[in-house]
Amino acid sequence: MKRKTTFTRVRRPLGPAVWYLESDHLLVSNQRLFWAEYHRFYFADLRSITFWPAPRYWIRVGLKVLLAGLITWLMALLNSTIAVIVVLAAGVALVARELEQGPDANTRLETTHGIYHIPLASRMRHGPKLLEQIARQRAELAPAAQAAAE
Amino acid sequence: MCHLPLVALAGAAQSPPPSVVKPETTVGEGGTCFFHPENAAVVACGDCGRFVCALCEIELDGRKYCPACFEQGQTGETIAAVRQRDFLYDSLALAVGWWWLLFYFTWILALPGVLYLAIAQWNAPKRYLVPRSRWRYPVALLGLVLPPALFVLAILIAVRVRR
Repeated sequence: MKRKTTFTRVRRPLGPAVWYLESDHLLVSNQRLFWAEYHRFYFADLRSITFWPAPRYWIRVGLKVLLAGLITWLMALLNSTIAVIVVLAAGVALVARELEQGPDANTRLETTHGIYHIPLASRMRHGPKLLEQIARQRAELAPAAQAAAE
Repeated sequence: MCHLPLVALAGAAQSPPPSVVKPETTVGEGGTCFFHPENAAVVACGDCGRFVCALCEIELDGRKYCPACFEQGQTGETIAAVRQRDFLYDSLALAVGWWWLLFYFTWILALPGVLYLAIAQWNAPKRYLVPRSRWRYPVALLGLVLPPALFVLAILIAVRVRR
């Protein structure tokens, strides 16, 4: 079997969702612990793909701020100025990186036979690029399908 | 929290589905379909070799199937194009190979388990619908060998230092 090229991968605690862009469909390997479930989304059946910001992003940012603050406070209690500076700098860097990456994305795929919530993009900022690639692939397929139908 | 969808790819199917019935090109003189004796056969099944008509022909990934082989392949998940799921033996081996550290006394069970998976299912990652490399097996075995080896080494060093 030929090796497939990954289109996008979304990491999750119990296993990633790995997407492959095929000639006429999107294949997703939805991994949960030791199982990989496959779904095929044919372009002809695909009605819409929607992304919206996930609330978990703000929870994660909040937790990081809280953790950095807590460790900094502990270091301050130990009267260690260098440790305070190091922990504070690391905390600020982590939170700044998180804010720079932007919010996580929830995904909704609507096809002619159902609605699926399998993450396609990890962050909102990746969404437009992925949709553009899918739209391009669909556009390439359209004349071929037309010719086959005729 | 704003839940307005920010990006959407919309639009119904752009193109009509490809036609199901193919032009009649019979496979042999007077050959008829195994399932419909009144129909002319157009192709032989790639699995069992039965002649089938255009109505029965099922094409997947460039291979032709008769309805019986297709159904068998679907239930047995032997046809890759319709496979729904795979059990990830290599991921299981990797988990067992390192998770034993949480319950150290399970090492004695984890070692034969991982060895069995690594030998019996060595080729499994290549057979998945999306094939992947086998690196998880050696890493799992490393998880079973390296920590105990380091532990023994630490004890030996401690003994030598004390002397």
